[in-house]
Amino acid sequence: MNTRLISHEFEYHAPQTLQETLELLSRYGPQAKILAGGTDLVGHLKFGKRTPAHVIDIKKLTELKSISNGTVIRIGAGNNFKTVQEYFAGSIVYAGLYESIYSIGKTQVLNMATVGGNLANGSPKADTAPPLLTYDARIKLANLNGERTLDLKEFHTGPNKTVMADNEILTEIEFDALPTYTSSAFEKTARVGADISKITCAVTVIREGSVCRSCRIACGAAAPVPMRTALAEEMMIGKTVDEELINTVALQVGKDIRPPSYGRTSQDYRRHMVAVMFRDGFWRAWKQAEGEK
Amino acid sequence: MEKHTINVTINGEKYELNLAPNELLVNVVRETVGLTGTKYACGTGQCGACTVVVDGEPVLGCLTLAVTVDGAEITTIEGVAAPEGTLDPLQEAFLDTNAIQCGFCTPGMVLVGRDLLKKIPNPSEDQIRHHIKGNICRCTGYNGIVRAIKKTAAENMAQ
Repeated sequence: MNTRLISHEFEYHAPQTLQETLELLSRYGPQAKILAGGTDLVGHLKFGKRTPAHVIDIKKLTELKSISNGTVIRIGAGNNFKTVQEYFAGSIVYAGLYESIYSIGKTQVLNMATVGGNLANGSPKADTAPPLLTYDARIKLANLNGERTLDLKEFHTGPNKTVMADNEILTEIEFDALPTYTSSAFEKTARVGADISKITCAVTVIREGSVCRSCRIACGAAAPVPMRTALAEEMMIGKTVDEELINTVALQVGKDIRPPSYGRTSQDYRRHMVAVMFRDGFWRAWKQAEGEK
Repeated sequence: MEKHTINVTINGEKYELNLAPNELLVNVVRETVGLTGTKYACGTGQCGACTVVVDGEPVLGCLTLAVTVDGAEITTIEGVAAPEGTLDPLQEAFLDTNAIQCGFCTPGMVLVGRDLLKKIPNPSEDQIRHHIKGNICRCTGYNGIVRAIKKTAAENMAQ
């Protein structure tokens, strides 16, 4: 495999506005790929995994680079990881999203890769997907005819597959601001620190004293798509939290996931690790939600 | 495949380059411009040897299409020392702490190390190791590199 160059040939477009981008997508749709940070697409072009006739570079679209915080938090899909990481640094409520980006770690990748690209390429291992799933995030897709908003949990349909049509672009990620006494955490297991995830788990806890009002749990690399673990979550609603409850729920998280049986990491390992990671993440978030360290 | 003309400034010098869309920044810097300090190693964004600084931020030259950096200011390792040859304090520190063996990772390490010191003038060891996480060294075991960054930070602080 030659990683020194890209032998595939394609036409390059660098639209300056979203409108121009949508026009290009409507013209070239099935033959086009959107280039954001390039950390996935350029590798795919080298390996011939993707062979688009047209590459549409959206790096110049300032319209996709806003980020705002109110009753709804909106993150433009074109923001790179570094910007999003800095925006959420120090947040107790959204610590899970911050930690998911921190876990990717590599300085150069954080400068290049975008949060929109992380979701839009459809990987079940996307590190930002689990925390965003626990925030009940929604995503906005646009084409020439308009815009649609859908729940992030409806977005991924299989490994590297999403509901996004050829003429659509992911423009924004949004979620409702979470109440106080909420915190989130992200746990990841990988071969080495900066590697692609073997398994990830995000937890968002809304706490009322010793009672768990709600605990949302999402896992990555745990199924063909990033997923919430519904049965485990149900066991937590309104419960007084103690060690025994969390250990029981942790086992349920391991049962809820649907890990693939191929690849470097076995199903059993993933089920076992995700239970451990849920426990670690839960206790961190639980303490943080009441301002404990 | 239509070629595109881009204008870039590399280490303070202006270049007008006529490039095919599938040309990678690392190859353009090395072969078209002739600045071979930037290294090609893994080609898949794992090792950081191809790091160049684009508009103030380190990026991977092996995963960047050169046509996308139109209008950018680029710094490569050749642009780090002063024009008359005086080394950057971090480069001096790399020599002092034996942070170099084969030298292949060094250009990327120096650029990322400088980036860290620009953002966090007095970083902790954890912060140093986290910031250079995307740069692989197979000779030194990283300790010399970490010492070099610490030494430069301490010298900056003392001033």
